[in-house]
Amino acid sequence: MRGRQSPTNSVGVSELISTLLMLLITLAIGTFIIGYISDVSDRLYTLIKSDVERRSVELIKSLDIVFAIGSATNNEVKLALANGITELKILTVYINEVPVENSSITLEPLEIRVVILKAPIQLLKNSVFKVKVVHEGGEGVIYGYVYE
Amino acid sequence: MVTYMSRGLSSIVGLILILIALVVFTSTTYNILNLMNEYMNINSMISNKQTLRSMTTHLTEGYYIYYPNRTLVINLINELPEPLRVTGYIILFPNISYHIVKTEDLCIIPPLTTSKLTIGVDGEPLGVFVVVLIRDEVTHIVVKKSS
Repeated sequence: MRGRQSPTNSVGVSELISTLLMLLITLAIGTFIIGYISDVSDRLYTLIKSDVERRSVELIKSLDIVFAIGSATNNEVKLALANGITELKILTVYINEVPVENSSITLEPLEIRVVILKAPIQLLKNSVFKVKVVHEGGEGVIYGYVYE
Repeated sequence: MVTYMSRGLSSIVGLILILIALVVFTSTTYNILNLMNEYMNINSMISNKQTLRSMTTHLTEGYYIYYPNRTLVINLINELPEPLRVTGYIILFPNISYHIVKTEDLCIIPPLTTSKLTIGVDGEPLGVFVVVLIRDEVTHIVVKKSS
């Protein structure tokens, strides 16, 4: 019977080591879960916040496109714009989805301005064209008519 | 004894970690919900802006009469329950030239009233547009020729 070991006395790590191991495993899993939750929620928060900021700008800025008239002889477009109560920057103007070169304009508060733009496409007499104005607060669309 | 201690320690550490996770989760959920609320408010305000523009198109009218002495009389009918502030006019002439008139002191058209505005022009216009502010939203009224 000497040398025979009971099943509970089998070879393994000591109870102190097992305690430390268990603690380490618990800590590692816990830290991973907290980190994961924090990361996911941070990303969600940043995403919503950027959208809120973009929408806030959209709320303050206001632009009205009054009319758009084209001239086939000069291949020009006269675009009447009216600005709201804050300064507004027009980023790009598109005519029939083609961007107009050097169309970046800054409008003062309550400014009404007629902008003459060189059309990037050939305008035909008595035809209709589409103008899209992209500005800080969003975009606006108007259809114009080529008179002469 | 050590086994019990080990189980107890792990449970305490686990509990503390769960509590930290709960605090992190609750605070971020609160922040996100708060932000969502702000987002909804902004969306509703943007929707109000679009409604205001649409209302202005449907509930305002403008007519002009051109007199040979180069005077243009514009009648603006405001059927909105809100005042309109006129910021200026754009007058378009048959040769596609234009004239912009800026109103220095924003002319206010009270709700449910008609206003008459007289301006001097160079000739008979092709089209008259009145630029108005409703609350802080800019829009325009197309003024028709009075028959």
